[in-house]
Amino acid sequence: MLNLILAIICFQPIEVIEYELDNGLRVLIYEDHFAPVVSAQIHYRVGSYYEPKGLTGVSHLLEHMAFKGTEKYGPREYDRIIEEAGGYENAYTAVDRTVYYANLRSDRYELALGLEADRMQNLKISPEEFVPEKAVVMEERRLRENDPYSSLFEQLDLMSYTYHPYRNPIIGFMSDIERTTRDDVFQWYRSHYNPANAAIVLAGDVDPGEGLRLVKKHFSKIKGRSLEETKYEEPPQRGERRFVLKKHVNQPILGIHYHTVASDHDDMYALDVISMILSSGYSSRFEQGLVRTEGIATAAQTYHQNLKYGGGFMILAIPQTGIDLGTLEQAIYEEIENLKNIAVSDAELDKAKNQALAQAVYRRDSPQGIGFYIGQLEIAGYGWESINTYPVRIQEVSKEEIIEAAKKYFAQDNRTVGYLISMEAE
Amino acid sequence: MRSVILLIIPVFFTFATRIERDTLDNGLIVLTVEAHKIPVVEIKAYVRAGSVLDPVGKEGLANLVSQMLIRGTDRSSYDEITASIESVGGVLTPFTSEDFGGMSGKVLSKDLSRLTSIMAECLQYPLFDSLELLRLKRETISYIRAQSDDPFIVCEKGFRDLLFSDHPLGHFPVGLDSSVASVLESDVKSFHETYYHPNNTFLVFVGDFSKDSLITLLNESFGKWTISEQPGMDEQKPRASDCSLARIIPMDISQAYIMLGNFGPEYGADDWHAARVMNYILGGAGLTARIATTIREEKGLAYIAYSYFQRFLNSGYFAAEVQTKKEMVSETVQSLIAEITSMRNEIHAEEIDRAKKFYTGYLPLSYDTYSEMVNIVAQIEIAGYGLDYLDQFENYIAALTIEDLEAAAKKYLHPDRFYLLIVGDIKPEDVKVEGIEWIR
Repeated sequence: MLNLILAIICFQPIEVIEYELDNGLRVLIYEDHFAPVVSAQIHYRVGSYYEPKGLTGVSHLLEHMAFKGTEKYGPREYDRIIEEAGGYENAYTAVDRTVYYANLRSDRYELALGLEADRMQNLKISPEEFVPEKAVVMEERRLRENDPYSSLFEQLDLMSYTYHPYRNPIIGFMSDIERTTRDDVFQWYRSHYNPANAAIVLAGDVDPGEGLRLVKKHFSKIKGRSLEETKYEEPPQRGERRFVLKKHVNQPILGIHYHTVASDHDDMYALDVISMILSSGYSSRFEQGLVRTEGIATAAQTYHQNLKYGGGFMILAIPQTGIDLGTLEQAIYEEIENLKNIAVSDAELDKAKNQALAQAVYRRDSPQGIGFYIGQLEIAGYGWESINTYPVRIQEVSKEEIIEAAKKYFAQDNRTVGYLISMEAE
Repeated sequence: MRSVILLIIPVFFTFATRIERDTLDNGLIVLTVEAHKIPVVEIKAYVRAGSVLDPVGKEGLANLVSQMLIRGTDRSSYDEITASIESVGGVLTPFTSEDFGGMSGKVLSKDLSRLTSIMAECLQYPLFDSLELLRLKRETISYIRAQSDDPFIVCEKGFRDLLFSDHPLGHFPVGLDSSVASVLESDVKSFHETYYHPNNTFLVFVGDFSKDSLITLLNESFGKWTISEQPGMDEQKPRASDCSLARIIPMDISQAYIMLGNFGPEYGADDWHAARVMNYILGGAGLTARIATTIREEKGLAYIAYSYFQRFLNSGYFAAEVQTKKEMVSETVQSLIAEITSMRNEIHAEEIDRAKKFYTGYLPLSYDTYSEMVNIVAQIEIAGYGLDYLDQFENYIAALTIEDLEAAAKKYLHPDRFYLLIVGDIKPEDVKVEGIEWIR
């Protein structure tokens, strides 16, 4: 308990300064003056969730084409300008957002703002650049297909969600990537990239007044247009779903998915604590029991993923040599049943709470990481304050709530189970 | 074409970081960087006890030793060790590289003494309980097996084996399933007894502490660790081939995973900065490097196409890495060889200029977190650079000439005698390149 109190003292809330320009662009500034570095990020509210059938992967293709030139700058010019400034830049596409970022010395982050303002308005997406880049994306897709874990996760999403767009892979299906035309991508760009559908995050050695002035300078003249968002709802799962995926592998893998809750639901905290108790660290139940003492698993990990419109509690486990997937699966269910029937110990609960607090402090080591988190929360519509409230809410989780959450969500009818096995197996 | 939005003045620009180096009476080196941004301390203990010291037939021994460190000491059990750190939200993880074994850890600064005393205990007094060793060997063997489905790992492992052959750098620290199985309790104990000593170790601390009280703390927890004379290291260099050697590892996948390279500089090599900047131009600069420009941007052959140097204490290698669909393997290998050849033949002044501008601005980005700082401090120690390295770095870069880079290219890039490893559903006749000797 004393440790908990001391940990709470170490945990200091972060401060973010927020603005909204007249055109709807959200601006969030987080100061950290440890190193003379600024992470300049733009988060767009577009990703695989928003994509129609037949056009999966278009947000990701657009992200690739966003480096291929505007009216003002030629292909790859963006990379070169940032490079010559000693910066690091990259981009990624997620379920609900597309993010471009550049980390630069704090005397020159305006470079990134200028380039992002240009990228928001003037992308060319030329047919000559589109052809080879689509081939690159298809190679990226092949890399994933060759990775057993990615294949299993993709199949698990497809089986867990029957209707909801969360079932679609962010990179898209191969046939959709193949079918997507330059005009499709351009259209997608025109309809989704504008100030009202984006947030700028400046994290690091930045003066907020100056930061805002620079954002205004580059973005205030761009016209904003807010977009309607469709909320899709997955019908409740009423019965276990199982599948077998065969690949040329030596090592079988087990994947389990339980539907849980969206990230604004109070049960999220108890489920996160469960995830920590099961698999966070060497002293966790899975590592202690399944891996070390019982010798059933080589690795057993849980992930609780909460998105805006739903969540999933996933378990990924690899059996030790000579152990079959059925035995491993049963051993995992025994651990799950224990959570429903026996209250977790004080020590376990305190440990999880301490871990959550410590993680919240560790996270502040990286301005880029905090920036991503701020942008993610902003895009999902929750606001950055949850960075501060989350560890506090975790402290309030009780043993009873853990039992209730386990009973409510870890039901057989609510799960999807996948076996990845060798092509040569029976 | 290029318009510059801001005028960039290449001024030297590092931020105040003071690396201090202290030595305890028993020879234990302590490197510290005090930083008080967040109440956290990151630690890493490096013992010169990596997998290059694995005896033949016992590959994976060094890794088993470091992994056993948290599995019980003569005073605490696995449960007590892991719970003690994790109950306060801390992290303590063993690691093994080719050159070093050891542990890394992270805690809120209020728990620093807890972490250092447990780390000291694990490094000095591990129990090497036979049941725990049996369990660990089983887990490790299953882990090695699981890795055999990952084409990236199969490719790198195959390349290392092809390049270094029976030299100890030819195997990964984790070892082989057969050799891990043959490691005995006595092997583990004697390896630890031989190499785990303060005069063979350095510690790195970055974060929220005061150095003076830290040294007092370390004298308490590490002060009784005894010195032992270290056996002479086998400084034998791997032997280079005088022709191009290639091998295919068959795997039923839709792409070919390609690694092509040669030997490279070791830690502390005089021409490291020249080699690094040369490689930046060739394949290290992300999408603007020559390899990515040709193979990815112009030809659309691959998603990943780059090159790098991997350094060890006693050797190193250069490798270019690409994954492409199997029909394009020949064109891709030809392109790689062409890029390596042209790098040897011609480096443009504007390329060096661009690379220098990059490195001028890049340095603060490379250590703006505590964990990155730990790694950079360790590299400075390993390579034997002075404690003012971060201040000097930009001078080293600025002093490089086109001749330095050309010399590095000639020394490390060999289009006529390279090592080529391909993983995939490929046959030698699919690779239309002259003068390769294929090895089964």
